[in-house]
Amino acid sequence: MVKIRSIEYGLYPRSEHVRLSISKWERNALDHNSLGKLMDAEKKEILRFFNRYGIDFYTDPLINWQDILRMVASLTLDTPFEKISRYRETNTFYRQPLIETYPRLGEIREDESTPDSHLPGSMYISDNSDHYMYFLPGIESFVNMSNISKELKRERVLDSLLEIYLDLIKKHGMERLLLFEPYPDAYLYEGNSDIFSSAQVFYVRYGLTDNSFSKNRDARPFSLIASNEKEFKVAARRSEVPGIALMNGQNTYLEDPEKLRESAIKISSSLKLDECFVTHTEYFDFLPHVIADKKIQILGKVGE
Amino acid sequence: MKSDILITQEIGSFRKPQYLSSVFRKTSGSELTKLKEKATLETLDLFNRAGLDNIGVAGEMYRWEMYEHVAASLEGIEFYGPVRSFDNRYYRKGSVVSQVKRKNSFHDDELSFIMRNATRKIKLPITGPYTMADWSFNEHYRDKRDLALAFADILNEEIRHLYGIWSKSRSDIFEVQIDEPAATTHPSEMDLVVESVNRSIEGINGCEFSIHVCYSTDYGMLFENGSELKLQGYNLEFANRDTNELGTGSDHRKAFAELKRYWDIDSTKFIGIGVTDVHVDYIEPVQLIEDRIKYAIDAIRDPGKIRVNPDCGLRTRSREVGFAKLKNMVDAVKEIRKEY
Repeated sequence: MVKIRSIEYGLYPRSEHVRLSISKWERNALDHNSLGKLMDAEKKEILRFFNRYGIDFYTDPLINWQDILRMVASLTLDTPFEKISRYRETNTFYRQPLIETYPRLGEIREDESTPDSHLPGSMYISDNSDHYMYFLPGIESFVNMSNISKELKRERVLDSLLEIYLDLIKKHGMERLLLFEPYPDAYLYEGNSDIFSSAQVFYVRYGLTDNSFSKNRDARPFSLIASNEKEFKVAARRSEVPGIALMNGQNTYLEDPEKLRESAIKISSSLKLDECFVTHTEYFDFLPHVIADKKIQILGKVGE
Repeated sequence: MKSDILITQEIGSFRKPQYLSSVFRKTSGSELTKLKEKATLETLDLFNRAGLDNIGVAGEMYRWEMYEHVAASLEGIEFYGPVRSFDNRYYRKGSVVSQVKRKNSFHDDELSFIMRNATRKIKLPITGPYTMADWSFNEHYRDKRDLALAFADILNEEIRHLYGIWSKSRSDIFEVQIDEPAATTHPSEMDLVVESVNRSIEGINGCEFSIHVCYSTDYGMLFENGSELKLQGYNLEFANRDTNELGTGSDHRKAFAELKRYWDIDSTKFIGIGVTDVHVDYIEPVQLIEDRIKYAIDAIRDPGKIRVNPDCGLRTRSREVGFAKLKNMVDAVKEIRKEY
């Protein structure tokens, strides 16, 4: 029987309490310290919720990140964020980082947080369990989603980010890391191999093909997570335990956990796999909070 | 000095005064209406002081948000909670759970009030069918096309009703702006954008229709399909992607480069150019706005075809910042008009 395990990742929707608290902070009616404590407490609560409903692997809920790039960009770039850019083909926007000098690792300073940069609170709050994963945006996506000055060499920007990522992995003692690549290059950036060997990496990469790996054939994360059945075949060939996004993270329709589980078993069996991961398309921040909570409960049952 | 060129206009929303925003969702009936009317009059005064030629509907004080306001007047949509637009800005995205039907008019009270009180041109924004479909979770219709066309039929009904109100006391043209911020989100769906927008205005005479699109990755696809759109103009965003450097050359105004391309494809429509960025508090200097407009005139060569507006609604800025941006926009146009 195929072993099915569930994964939840990325930005989780903020509760009403958090949204209102952030609004107060923006109006200077709540101080940095108080908002930071509130954020950390809320993250712990969300992690307890994931655990309670049986999610096998989950990332930090990232409720103080503003978007998938903002926290890391605040840490690594000197320039402010300005331009609002559309995130893929959605009605959600991110603030585009402007890269004018090669990124380098700095320290997040609480007193420098602004609504445009990052919100107060810890970058990560681990529950120290075997389920917890850290989260980082893929390096290719970071670069593709940014505006890079013409004076800089793209390859060197990628390599600068790689150094930073390896430092972050070491600094936080990351055992498990989910790398999220919604804006991939045609070919896998070869520096990813260093990341794959530094932690147990779950790699969500959109548009997976064998060709993606043609310049980096030996690259092998612990798990490659595909968006559909066709890409799942590539994921199965190129990782230890492949994953597939069967749950729709962009629709409020509530799936039947049994049907999701059956699909996962059928797809895995057809490839003679012993195990696979099931997760969702896109991160849950595109959904209302109450629906995301319900989807977590469904996803937890898929992994049983 | 020609005053009928470079018409200054706003796009739609403006920050609500605190006395209205703090109670909007908690109050109803005549108490809320009085506050909406008060806020509309105050915003109308602000727009008049800024010097706008077209005051829109004075900042959409009757609406909380462009999607939600329409959805609340329809059957078939459930709201499970807000979803994020950017930073800590949210909107309530509905789930279509059954056939959508119009329960009541979305905008007749707002239109009637502004018609009684405005002395300048009016333009009524209305959320377009494609955006309504794209911004809804679809749990009921077979596909997005069916959903978008269902919304188009509803909008057609609403616009006819509003035109009925307009034409009872006005003989001048009724300006309607179809808000389609989602129009270029999915490049493969431009046909559906055209089909649904055209269906929403089909058979309605006596109106000037424009389409508002913003934050597109490629206006080219809009222009290339735009000749099929049966409306009279575009109101677009540009300032967000432009530099703040002065200058009228192509190097300084790269964000506006698509205007030259537009003019080659479809010169029958007018174009409203976004000259001030609504997502930052930076108040664009008059000279910068002048330079942006001059570049546009050079590209399009007919200032009568150009209207001047902010990139989008100003509701994410304070009222003070919004006013300053509009004032500078109008002052820039005044300077340029002296040359004609």
